Amino acid sequence: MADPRWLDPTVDPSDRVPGTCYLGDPKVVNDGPVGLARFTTLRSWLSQWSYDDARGDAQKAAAGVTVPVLVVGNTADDACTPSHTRRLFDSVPHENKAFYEVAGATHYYTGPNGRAQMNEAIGVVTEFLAAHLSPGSTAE
Amino acid sequence: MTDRTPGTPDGCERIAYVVVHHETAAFSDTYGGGGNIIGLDCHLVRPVDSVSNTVMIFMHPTGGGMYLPIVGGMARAGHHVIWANSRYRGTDSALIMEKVVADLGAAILDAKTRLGYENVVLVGWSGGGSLSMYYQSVAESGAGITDTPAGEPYAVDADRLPPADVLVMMAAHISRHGILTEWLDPSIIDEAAPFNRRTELNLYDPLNPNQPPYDPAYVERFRDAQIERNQSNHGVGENHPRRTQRRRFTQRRTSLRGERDDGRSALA
Repeated sequence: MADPRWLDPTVDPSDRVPGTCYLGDPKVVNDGPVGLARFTTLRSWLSQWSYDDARGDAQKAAAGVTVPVLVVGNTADDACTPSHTRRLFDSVPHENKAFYEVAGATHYYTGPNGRAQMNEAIGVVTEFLAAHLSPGSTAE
Repeated sequence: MTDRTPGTPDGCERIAYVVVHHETAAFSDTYGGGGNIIGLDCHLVRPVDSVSNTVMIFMHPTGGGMYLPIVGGMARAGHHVIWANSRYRGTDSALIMEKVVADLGAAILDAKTRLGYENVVLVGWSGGGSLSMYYQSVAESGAGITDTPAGEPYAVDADRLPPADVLVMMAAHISRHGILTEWLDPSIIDEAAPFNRRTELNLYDPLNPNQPPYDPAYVERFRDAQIERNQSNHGVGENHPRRTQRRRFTQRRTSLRGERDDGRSALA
């Protein structure tokens, strides 16, 4: 876990708390057993973690997506920072898309306002579905 | 506010069920079925006595989010929600993304055919975001899946991968390999000796002259070094998975065709 973002709030600036990440103190996480790709088979490395070989790439995949896309991010996200959310949105080639950021929310909507922030995000999704699915087909 | 059943909002029901699908594979790479039978444990959470022809489907490559607050929260707000676990729930050390795509297709197909939902909203939460976007692009392409990046044949026909009607990304990242690379420690010189580190790339070394706030040129150099570590796996050399894997499959293919085994001489 050696991302300059966690130590320097001016890198990919957002509302996150400096010196932390979603797994804890990044210095400890960096040398610890919990994190992405700590254990992997060769096949899995290629399919899941390889910069050159893995195919599950949202930015590339977006080029082939025609359905409506809503991207909701959290400005204090301590895992998927706002630059990820923005890159996802920008990669969708069509205009049938929307972008929303929940101010102050962390990755898992933890913290004193977590419930309200999560409900804000849910409201945005509900509204988007009402606008993009045919009448009568949204949740009742 | 406490729900009577922790994890499931009052006024909602949680139905646990299994989605079973089949595939042709030489072996199982994870528990969760038997032989070529794949069993996916899924949860449908919805308001009691409500009718909807729309369902949200969540899947994360390594699963486990059935009780995430967002799942119950969506149901509390009136939505019908399925959390479908991939076969790799809780353990991604042998995960093949193409097989996760097949699992997601099976869960969507079941929701449309057996459960009768007309509209599917694919909700990609966190690591489920890039999975969902990738799934949708494969589904819309109509090309199905033919192999994995290791060069192994893995066939999934397009009719087993129905496209969703709407995509929602929540707290998502661009890709597993992308975010891993942004988090990789590029100061590691030798994969077999991870505590030998280059001071000038070690963010946690007080002797590193580069300290926050970082010079943008340093961050750029750091990012390049992260990509380089992902691409090369410093120190692994000939055992780099890409080379090893390709070499093995080349060997196998040439052996099967009864031609001269070039792979063997390459290994010597």
